[in-house]
Amino acid sequence: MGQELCAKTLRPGCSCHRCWEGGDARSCQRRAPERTRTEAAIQLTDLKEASRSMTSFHPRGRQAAHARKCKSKRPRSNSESFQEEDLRQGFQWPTKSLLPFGAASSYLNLEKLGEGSYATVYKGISRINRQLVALKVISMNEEEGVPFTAIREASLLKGLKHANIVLLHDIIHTKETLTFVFEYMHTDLAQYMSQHPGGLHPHNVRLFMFQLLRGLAYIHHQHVLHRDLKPQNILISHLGELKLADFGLARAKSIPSQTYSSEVVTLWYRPPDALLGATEYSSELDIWGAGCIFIEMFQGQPLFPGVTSIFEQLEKIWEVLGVPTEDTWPGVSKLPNYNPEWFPLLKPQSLQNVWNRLGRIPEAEDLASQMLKGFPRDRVSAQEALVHDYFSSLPSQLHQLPDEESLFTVSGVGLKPEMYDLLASYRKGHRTGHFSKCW
Amino acid sequence: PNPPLQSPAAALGPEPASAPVPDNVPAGTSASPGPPERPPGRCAPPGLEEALGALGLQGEREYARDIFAEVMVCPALPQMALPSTVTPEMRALVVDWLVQVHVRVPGLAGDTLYLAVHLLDSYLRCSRVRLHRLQLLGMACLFVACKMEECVLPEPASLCLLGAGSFSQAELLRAERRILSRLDFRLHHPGPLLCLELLAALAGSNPQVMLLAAYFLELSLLEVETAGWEPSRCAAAALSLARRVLHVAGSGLEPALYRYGHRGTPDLPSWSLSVLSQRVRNNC
Repeated sequence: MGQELCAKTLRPGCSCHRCWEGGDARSCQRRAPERTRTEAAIQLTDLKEASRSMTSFHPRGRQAAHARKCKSKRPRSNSESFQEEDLRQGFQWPTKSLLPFGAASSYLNLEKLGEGSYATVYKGISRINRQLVALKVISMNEEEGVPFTAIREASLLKGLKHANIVLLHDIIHTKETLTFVFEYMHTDLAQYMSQHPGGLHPHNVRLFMFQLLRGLAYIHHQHVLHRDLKPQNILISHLGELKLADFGLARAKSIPSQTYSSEVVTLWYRPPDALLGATEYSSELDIWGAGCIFIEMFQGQPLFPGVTSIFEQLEKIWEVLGVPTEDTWPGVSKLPNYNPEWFPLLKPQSLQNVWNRLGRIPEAEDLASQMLKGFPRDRVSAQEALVHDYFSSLPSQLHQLPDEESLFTVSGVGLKPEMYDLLASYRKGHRTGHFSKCW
Repeated sequence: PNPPLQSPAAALGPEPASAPVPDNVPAGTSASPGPPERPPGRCAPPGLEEALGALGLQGEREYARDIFAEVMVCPALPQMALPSTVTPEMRALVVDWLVQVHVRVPGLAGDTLYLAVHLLDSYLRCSRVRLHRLQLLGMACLFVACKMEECVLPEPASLCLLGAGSFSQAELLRAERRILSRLDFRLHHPGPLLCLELLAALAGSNPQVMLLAAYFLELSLLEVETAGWEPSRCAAAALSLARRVLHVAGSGLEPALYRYGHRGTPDLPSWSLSVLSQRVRNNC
């Protein structure tokens, strides 16, 4: 069979379509046409042969690895064809006269909003529908190509459509970069909290928490773990709509055989099982982080601030939850980072002793304590948490909303002004109104 | 509190795949109304919780049914002819080579291979490829699959070496971009391995049956026909065949395989046997 393929492959003047060398591939190869031709000849080798010599580290392989990098700046996008053949065959966009999705020219960059681990985010405006957008510009890694975080984020977000998940509008391919076009959100929870120091209005905490859990319940039902929950990754709109963002570390959890890396989730929001080195975790991972954020919204302070090492973080947690034993947490002593010398006399405290504002809100402490369980299996699921008594004062229609409908479509649901804003407006003699600074 | 998944009687109903079986609302302490019922069509066979436990997935109690529904009803690629430049034999040759590459790169998960072949088939369904670029396409699909699945990525340079210099690193990265663009980042695919593990756990299959079934499943990668099958159907066929070969007494699993694997697949054994005869003859 292999021989047969080889004969066919080697037939001169093969009339295959030039799919792999359309567009800017040509501009790269223009500089060394001779070499391209010889390489093409080399490619016509028997595949069997190739597989046999896989282990022999061929010097030509090294040469090829240092192939010249293309410098063309021409933007390339989903909507443009990679293949000129396609264009010639009359491939047309249905809205030819209008601005297409997927083209860099359809969006205007306005200002830089922030810089992430693998991307820079700009505020932009869509020239298609005049809406504000957030443009996440991902630069290509010369060695590794498209960052795996970008690949996972985009492929997961393609399948997630929910009012509490950030919406991916469009993807633009250019030569050097990849740009994800997201809906624009006015701020994030970290910034919202820093603009309203001293803790948020309890009513707003309830609305934010309900939306956070609603988003988590949705992604967990879709078998996706966020794995990087923190206030910076939770976006907030003018109205108070909350959306989960930054799925760069997220992954589909439908494949269990893979053990996950334990190096997920910012230290402050990382659950004790992950801190102890457990690599088999599930949706409970996100629940711990949501619990931390819940209390942080009341207190206006991170729960375990200033912690820099895993062991410091664990000790802070034990100070509240008590040191786990095999009785309270089966299997804990077998985890890699478990330290048998932990002082076992640390007894669990009630959360409101540690974080006083929890006690002022009925049922808030109970929900928080169900989310902040050391033993992962004991933690409440997002779906269960949504029907907790803490949320019973919210309109019952919120439980029946379709996935893509926002809480704020229900009449009577709205944010209340934060105490800090009221005080500020009293001092200044005018209302500061909406939070004006973005991101 | 683990909500009971579902009574066995309900799961064994005549039309389980379409019978609306709402999730059990967890026993909340609240007086407020329960969450909206999940869409109908989700059903779980008896023993699913134990099967998930056997796979180390006890943590997924709340979402067990969803996971099962997703992996079992994952849609197949449309049945389409390969591009005129690629014959089934050539596709098989590249897939066979990918299987070997997958073995040579240390530490790659099984799912990565199935995802890579799925990406290859998806690409071939929406785009043409020059024949001498088929090998590059296959490797780029494996590279993208690694980025989706693996914690530790193989070096692009070492992948190029495995290609014996038939493509450069720059070409590999360009091909990666092209795949992402052509497939519009729709890369998620549960693959048949989890289906196989779940079905085997449900049937209480021993490791020997499982191993043989996994082997058959890998052989099925070479078939252009099975590329257009639901992953659950491939898994059910592989398991069914392995049980026949090893003369495992039927435990009433077959009806369940048909039902949860794919409704109305009367040709499972015939496909299995034809694959077996062809492939085993070729390989032995």
